[in-house]
Amino acid sequence: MIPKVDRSFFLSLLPFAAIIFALFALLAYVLAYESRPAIERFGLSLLTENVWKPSERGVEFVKYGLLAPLYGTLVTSLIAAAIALPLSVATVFFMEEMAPYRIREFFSSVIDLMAGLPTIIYGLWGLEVMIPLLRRWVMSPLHEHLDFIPLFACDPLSGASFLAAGLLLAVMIIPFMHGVIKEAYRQVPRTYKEAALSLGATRYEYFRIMVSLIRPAIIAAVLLGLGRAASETVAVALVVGNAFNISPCLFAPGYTISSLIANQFTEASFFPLMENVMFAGSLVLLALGMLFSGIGVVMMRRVRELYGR
Amino acid sequence: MDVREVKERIFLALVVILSIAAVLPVFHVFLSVVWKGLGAIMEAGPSFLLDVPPAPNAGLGGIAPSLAGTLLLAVLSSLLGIPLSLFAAIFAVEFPDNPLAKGVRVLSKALLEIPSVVVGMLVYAILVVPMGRFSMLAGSLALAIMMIPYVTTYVEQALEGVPFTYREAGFALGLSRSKVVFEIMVGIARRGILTGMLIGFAKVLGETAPLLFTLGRDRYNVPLGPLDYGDSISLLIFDYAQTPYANMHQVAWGAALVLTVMFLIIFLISRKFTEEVFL
Repeated sequence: MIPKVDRSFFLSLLPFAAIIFALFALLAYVLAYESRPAIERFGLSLLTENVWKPSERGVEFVKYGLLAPLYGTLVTSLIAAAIALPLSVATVFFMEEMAPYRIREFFSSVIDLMAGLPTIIYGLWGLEVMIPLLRRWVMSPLHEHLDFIPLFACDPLSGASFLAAGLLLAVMIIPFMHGVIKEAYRQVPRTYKEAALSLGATRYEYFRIMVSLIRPAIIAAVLLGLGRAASETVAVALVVGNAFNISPCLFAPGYTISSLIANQFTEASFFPLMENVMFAGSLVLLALGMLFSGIGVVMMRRVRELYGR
Repeated sequence: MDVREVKERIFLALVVILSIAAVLPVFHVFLSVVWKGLGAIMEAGPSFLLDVPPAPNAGLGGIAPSLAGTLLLAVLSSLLGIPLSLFAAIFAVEFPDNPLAKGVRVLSKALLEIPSVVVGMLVYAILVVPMGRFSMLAGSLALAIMMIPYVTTYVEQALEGVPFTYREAGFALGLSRSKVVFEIMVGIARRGILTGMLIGFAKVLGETAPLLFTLGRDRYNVPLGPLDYGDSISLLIFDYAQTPYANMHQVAWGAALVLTVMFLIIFLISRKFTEEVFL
């Protein structure tokens, strides 16, 4: 209970707390209210079909299915996490165990900068600098020589593609995954490290022991990174190609849920149900994020419990 | 050399290579922005900061309305978001056992998990549609929501870092709870709190997605009131990067340089604050 003398203080701060609660209540209400017509009309086919037939004539003529953007969201996030994982594990080991003080400080500043840099800057760079380089030196050679592999089978026309989006997202989530892994790495008790080294482990063996000690955190980093990547919007919208496309080929243009919203939501009010479909899409996005970060947070808690700090 | 040693060498080399590969792109980003942005700004001259954007294939013009919009948005959203975050964080720290306060603590962090584009859609639904117009106010509200998790995290940390004895000393002097918090705790934690505000400010300076459906993208007029349409540098870059005109791409790069410089200034200031806190 709040003591009587503090009650007025408590009450005077309460409105600000209420605003935070109200925000979530509003969010839940708006998402439920706005997406309901779309869910009632299309049901599960909203997630299992790839159609995008807007029409100004009337509700009967429209048909929407978000399978392609959903596919694109998952593929680009998975590419990003797969690339970012080894890189962020390496930076943690490098900074914690190898780098001298100055280099370590420098690296940590750079990683902070990476985390904070406006995403639109990444997007512009991705579109105008990364994609041409990627197309010239990676996509075209792979397509020319290995086009019997389905992943490389299609011609990289503009370069805007699942791969481009995945790679750009990888750059953007590295600092984030780095942070998660670093936190866990620092929680491993010193005695464990000393024990490994005193047995004469090489640094490679030592690394493998450390990784096995923080395995839940590494899974957590991947999941939280996936969640981050799935919700990124403008940078992806610039490099993913914006086409309703489900293709195993990495060089094909695609869509993600968030980039679809970024591109089409402003015009959506002209077409019946389109706004509602996009709200339903954002519901999917939130559900994905909650799933990823929910499991991720549980994993991190396990690390904290293991090493009790 | 035995196998173990060879393995170790290969491993160490790999770690260094991967670490460099992890940070290399951001250097490339910076160099590209400086190189291309400086080219555009040199060509446009000082009018780049004072003029309106060009028509397709007609010179470079400037980004004045978007620049003003970005600055005004950052200020307006700070006015909305910082007091809210500050008081919510004080509430969470001061009443740690109260279920409402626990809820505030969890929810203000959970905002981080809501995709920024969804925040934009929320504000569109609760403000833009009822008012019937895009506005600076709607954009600021979206940005204020974006800044809450950052500011509250820093403020909570800063307040929790103040040793308990200071609080006791305040009570021993017979000060009320609110006096202890606002005149002692906040004073001692001011650097941390200021850092949180700066981080929040820097965060909203570069945001794009929350503004897509709230601001209206009027890039030819400087917004004069909270109900005017507005634009931001980030939106300008997003739109111009997708046009087929070479001059607009150049403007986008110039704008990117301006935005990056603004971000770097705030980054360096906040960095200095945190350094001094830890020393």
